[in-house]
Amino acid sequence: MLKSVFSKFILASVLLTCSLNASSNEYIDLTKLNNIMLYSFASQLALDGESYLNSTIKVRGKFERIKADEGIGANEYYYAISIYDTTMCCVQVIELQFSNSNLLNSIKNNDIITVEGIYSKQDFDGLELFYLQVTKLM
Amino acid sequence: MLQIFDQIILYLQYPFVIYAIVVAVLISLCSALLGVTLVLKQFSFIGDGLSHVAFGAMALAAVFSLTNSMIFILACTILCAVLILQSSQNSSIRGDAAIAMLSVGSLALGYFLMNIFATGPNIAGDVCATLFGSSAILTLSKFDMYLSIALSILVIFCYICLYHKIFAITFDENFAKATGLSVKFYNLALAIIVAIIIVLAMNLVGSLLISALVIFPALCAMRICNSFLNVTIVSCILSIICSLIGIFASIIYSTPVGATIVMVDIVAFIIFYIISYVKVRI
Repeated sequence: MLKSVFSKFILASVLLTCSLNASSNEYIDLTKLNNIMLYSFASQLALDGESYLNSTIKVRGKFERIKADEGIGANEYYYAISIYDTTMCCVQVIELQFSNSNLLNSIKNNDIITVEGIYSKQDFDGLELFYLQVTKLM
Repeated sequence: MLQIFDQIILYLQYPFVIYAIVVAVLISLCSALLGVTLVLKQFSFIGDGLSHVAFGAMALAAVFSLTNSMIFILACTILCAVLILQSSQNSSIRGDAAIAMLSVGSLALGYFLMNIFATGPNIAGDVCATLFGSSAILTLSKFDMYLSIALSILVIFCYICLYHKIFAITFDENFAKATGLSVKFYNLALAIIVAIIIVLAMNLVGSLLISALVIFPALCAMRICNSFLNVTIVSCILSIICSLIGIFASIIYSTPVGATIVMVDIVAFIIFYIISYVKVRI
């Protein structure tokens, strides 16, 4: 009986997990999430970006203007929103791209900002990079 | 109360939360199953030692930039589990000394390598997340998740198949040997299963807190149950309940997952201790 109970439990867990998938083209409001959930979601955007492609994402975090010192895209400026975990020891970044330079010019480094954009992908010298194409600054 | 319920409903819409819950339940189940045996055989510290070895292996995997580090960590931890077992049986360095040596050595080596060959700027963050598992269970990749589920099923399957043998070597190894059971082989199998559970549990509670996941449910169950089977069943149920409460509390109140689960385990132990005390008095 024990083996029967265990095997049914395992089967249920596996079926539940396999039936779940994130879907693209959704509207996702990350501003409703607390620290740990926001950090975890940001990690999922990095680990499984394909599942969230073309979704509209609204997120709040610390704006950072980063200059790449070396490697691909050296000496260019990149923009990102930083999200810290609950213990403030780990950080996830979501790269931002602005088609409207007026939006970019209105933000200072380290400002806490709320942006909305489309989660997109680009090929950068053979590397697949995910970023948020900013459409609104709130 | 309604607000908390609404929050849970909102968070359960995210697939990675469901993945975390499923993996956490399976890991808790596996930890509880082996926890009873480890506590009775007074091998509780082996989990602690192996978790530090896993941390060292994780640091090595990071230095070599291995994409699927879990397999490398698993291999190193299983190897060390076998070494610890071998050294406890036929060496001048025995038991707890061998575990202590491997444990502190791996921890120091891991931290040393992470500093010398830093793969990112935030070393303190990487170390903290691995040692204490603040949100690791919520940030599993799909590969890690499927691997965790597969290994958990394997561990549960092995335990069910080897239940009677594990029972025999837990209570009386000499008698088990006298009846013709290959005690050495089953102890080795136990060590490998423990190593697998340690690597899985690192994602849930981090390296330093793994022992709590293994020990507390067994100790709680032993307060109120008298037979091995009852202790095992109660320990499993309790471990799952505490992990679920810990995960939900963590995502609602934004606390580190590993520490929250262990705090719930401690509260459960206090409750069971009081129940057993009252039972004895009555």
